[in-house]
Amino acid sequence: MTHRECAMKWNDYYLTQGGQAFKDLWADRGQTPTLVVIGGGFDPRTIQTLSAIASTATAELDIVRLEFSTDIRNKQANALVTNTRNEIERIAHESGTLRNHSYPETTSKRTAGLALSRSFHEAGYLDGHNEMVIDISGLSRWMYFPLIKSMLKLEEQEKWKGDLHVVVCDNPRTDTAIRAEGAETVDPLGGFGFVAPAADVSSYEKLERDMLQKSFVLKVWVPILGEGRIEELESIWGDITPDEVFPVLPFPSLNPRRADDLLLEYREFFFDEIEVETRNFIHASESNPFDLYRSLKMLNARYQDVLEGLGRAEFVLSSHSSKLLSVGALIAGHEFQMQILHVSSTRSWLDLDTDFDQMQSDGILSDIWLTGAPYT
Amino acid sequence: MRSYRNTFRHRTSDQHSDDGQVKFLRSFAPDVIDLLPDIQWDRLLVIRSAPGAGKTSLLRAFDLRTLRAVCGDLKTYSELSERLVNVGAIQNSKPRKLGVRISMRTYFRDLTDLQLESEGTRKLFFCLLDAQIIIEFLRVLIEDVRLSSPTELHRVQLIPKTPHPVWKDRLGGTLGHELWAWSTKMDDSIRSLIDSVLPVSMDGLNEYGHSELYSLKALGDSDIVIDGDSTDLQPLLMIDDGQWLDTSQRQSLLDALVERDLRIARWCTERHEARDTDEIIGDGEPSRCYEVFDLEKVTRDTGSALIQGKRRRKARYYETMLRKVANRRASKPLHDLGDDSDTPFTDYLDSSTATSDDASSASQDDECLAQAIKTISARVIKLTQNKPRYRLWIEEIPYTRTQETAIRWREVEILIKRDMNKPQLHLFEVSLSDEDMKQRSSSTVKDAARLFLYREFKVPYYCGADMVAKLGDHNFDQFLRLCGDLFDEMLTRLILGQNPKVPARKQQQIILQASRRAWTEIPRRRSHGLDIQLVLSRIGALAKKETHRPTAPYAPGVSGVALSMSEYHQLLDPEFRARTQGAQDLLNALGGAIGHNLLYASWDRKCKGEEWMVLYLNRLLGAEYGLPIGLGGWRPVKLEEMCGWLTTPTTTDFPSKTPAGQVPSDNQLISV
Repeated sequence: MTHRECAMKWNDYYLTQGGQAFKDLWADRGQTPTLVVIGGGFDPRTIQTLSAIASTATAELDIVRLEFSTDIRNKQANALVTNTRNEIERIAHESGTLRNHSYPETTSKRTAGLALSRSFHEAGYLDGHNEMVIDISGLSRWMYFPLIKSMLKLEEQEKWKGDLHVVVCDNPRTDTAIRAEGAETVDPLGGFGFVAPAADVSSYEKLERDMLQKSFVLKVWVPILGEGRIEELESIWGDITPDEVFPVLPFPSLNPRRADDLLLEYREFFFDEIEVETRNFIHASESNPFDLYRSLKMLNARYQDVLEGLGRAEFVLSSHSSKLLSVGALIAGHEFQMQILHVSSTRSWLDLDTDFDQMQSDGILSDIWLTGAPYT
Repeated sequence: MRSYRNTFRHRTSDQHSDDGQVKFLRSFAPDVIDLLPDIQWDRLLVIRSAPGAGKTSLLRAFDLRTLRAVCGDLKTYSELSERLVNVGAIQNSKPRKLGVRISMRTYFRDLTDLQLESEGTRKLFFCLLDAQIIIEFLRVLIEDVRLSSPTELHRVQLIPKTPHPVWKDRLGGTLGHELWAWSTKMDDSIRSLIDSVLPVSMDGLNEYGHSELYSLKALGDSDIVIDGDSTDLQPLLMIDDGQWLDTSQRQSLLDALVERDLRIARWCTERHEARDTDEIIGDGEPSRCYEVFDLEKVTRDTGSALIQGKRRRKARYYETMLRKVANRRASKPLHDLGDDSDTPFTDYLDSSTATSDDASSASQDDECLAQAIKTISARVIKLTQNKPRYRLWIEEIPYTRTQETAIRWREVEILIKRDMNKPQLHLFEVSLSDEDMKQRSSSTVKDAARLFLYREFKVPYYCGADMVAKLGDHNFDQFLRLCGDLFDEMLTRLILGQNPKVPARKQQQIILQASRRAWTEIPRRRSHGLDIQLVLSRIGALAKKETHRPTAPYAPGVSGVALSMSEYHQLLDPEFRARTQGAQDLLNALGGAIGHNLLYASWDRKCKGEEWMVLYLNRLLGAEYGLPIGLGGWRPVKLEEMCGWLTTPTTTDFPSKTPAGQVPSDNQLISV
């Protein structure tokens, strides 16, 4: 069977979008006690998702708040954090319980994400829960990628057979308003660094196959584009120097010219500097992570089929766009063993002209149902 | 449609494909090899620089693949082959070195977060490194022509030169496929452990540990045999990106690599930031037992050494090397776009020819000069009214409308102001002669005059090929980016059917745009970038103020500040930093700026009975503030004042001038 013919885990998927549809879903799913994982930072979008779930769920919510590093907040930022935390605590008080999960002390964000995922499971939050929500609205990629990956692994190993929902209040305006300092540290996201399966060298034939697979590797980079990330793109390019590049443009999108604007923004980098061919650009729906997942599957299958017998293509993804599209990269990275790189910043800040009130009210609620009832 | 791609922007020479390899060989500057210290293959060489200075490209020149390509076409790559022969990488038209290049970028540092005791972490680090060295060594052989298929690894063998080597058991054997099996198993196992998202058991990790780097012995003390025949290849281990290691790992690695009984050639590259911040600031490695090749330092020293007539045999003037690199990059595209004149890229930047080619620009320059001469001469005449002392100086100025005349007027004005500021020594004023003028003036005063003309009348100063090379400030990336911006203009002119010469005024405009871009990029590119930008902008503002004083007291200007060595030692004291607001941020900012070549630090400079650490602003950044291009003068700053820069940003700081820079105030920083 060729790679193209292989079945896709999320060929048929369950995606709920829009405020009312989201609430309708949780009026139904919220009849059993649910474990809800949220971020402990400033992001007001966390309030939106949690209040939408809490307003319709009838059973108790067991909320776990993943704490952030506390070394940077101050003054205005601190006020934002306090406001968000107070609101979360009010919702939790009315709808269930709230537990705080401490921030791990590590040398990098990558290993902090891994340590966070491991310690989350060691803490036993999952015990007794078959319904789990991970709200990525207020979580950084280095936090939610390893955690979601761990849940997918547990489900594959049949150690947990529950329903996993990844929810997000998607608001590209907020994503764009957050600016990062420093683009020097390029790391694979926790759980997405290791590409090849462990070598089975029990027989000479297997050893030969392993040698073949590892000796000729064509590196393919798929950056998922968002605005204002040129430093990240340059850092990743310098780090991996891929053989092929397939940039992903968000289309269809709310702003129909967004893909064109991105092309203009990165024209010099893609065309002058790294000489990407125009036919390599991929379009993926801005609001549907499964569209990106499907495109990545096809791209991966095409390359692996062509290289069968010669070696393999090693795919490296990097997400510079919305959280919704990041989920598409995450599930593709998990299923097709693709590496996912991330540029860690040292500090972040909000744009000077950010409208904080608008930030708290805008956004589209999405529920990406990844495991459980729809897939059995 | 015809493609007009800018070859200065191409990064595809970094790629490992055949196309990338050809581009690399075309664009690599062989002269860089001349800068290497006399190579002692049995001693560790640490190559250090800021990002973009060319460390990785230098290593790539010693890859087996590169050596084979050069040996395969000695005529085309004659300059490179000559140098590779000189250093012993090529012998009898055959590669002599087998480069094994390992990046420390990922995974190694993660080991420290596995919560193992330190000895266990060190052993695991060595084991993973051993595995990756062996894998890379075998991969190089697989790719080399001798092994057409990876399944032929059983044809490879390491024959130990000593009986019963310890490494044989630790690395899985001596045959290629045995080594491959062991190393891939270890590599997979350790990396799976590091990257596990679920709780892992640390039991049984001891079986993985290596107390030393066995691969160094295996590759150094063995004959590499293929099909029973010994090869002449000598492994050269090249550890790249050492800055990504944890401090203790870096130390363990250096300890392992400095052993004098090792018989494998080994190099290690790292950015300046690999060292602790206080080590960068302190430039201190007093007890090192390895050779350090500091790329920026060597290129700076090479320039001055040549001027003094030393090392002429080995080193070339760095700027000349950059010119060659630029001309090589531009030659083919210029020709492809219809420029058959074979004029080098740098000649098109020559300021004297560039001004005359473009009619509108030439007329603008002419008006500018006329205005400058008219204004300055009027000022000087007013200043010297009833003062016959300066009559001869003024009379000697020619009546031409040239840049030289304008410079001369401004030079005279500076000298007159200096003279007037002196205490009155003579009862009767003596007329000053042309000889007095020569004695009191110098090339630096002339340069200051040029700079003043630029500031007051926008007469081009930042232009010309030499200027562009200097603005690169000992960093290839910075230089190539600047050339790329200028080459865009040349391409536009060619497309419009014009002469590709770029007028001086246009060059200056492009350079100033590049300078501004470099400033705005600092926060988004560099760790501690906000603080770095703040400190540099204060240095820039201070230097600008001092440079443009009417008497040009520090001609050609000020381009840096200095901290007394006693205060600098204070800054290195953790207790001082703990109790002084802004001190830790200052240390981080200075460390980041020096590490990334945004500041050039010179230690132990003696002046007025004190010793100083002088911090010069990167030349490209200095252009934004109208600073001189050479290493100008410096002004002392108190440590307390510098710490205060970080705690009390003002409206004169750089970000306030560039809303697009999107730099926040401190209270907007958040944890996300």
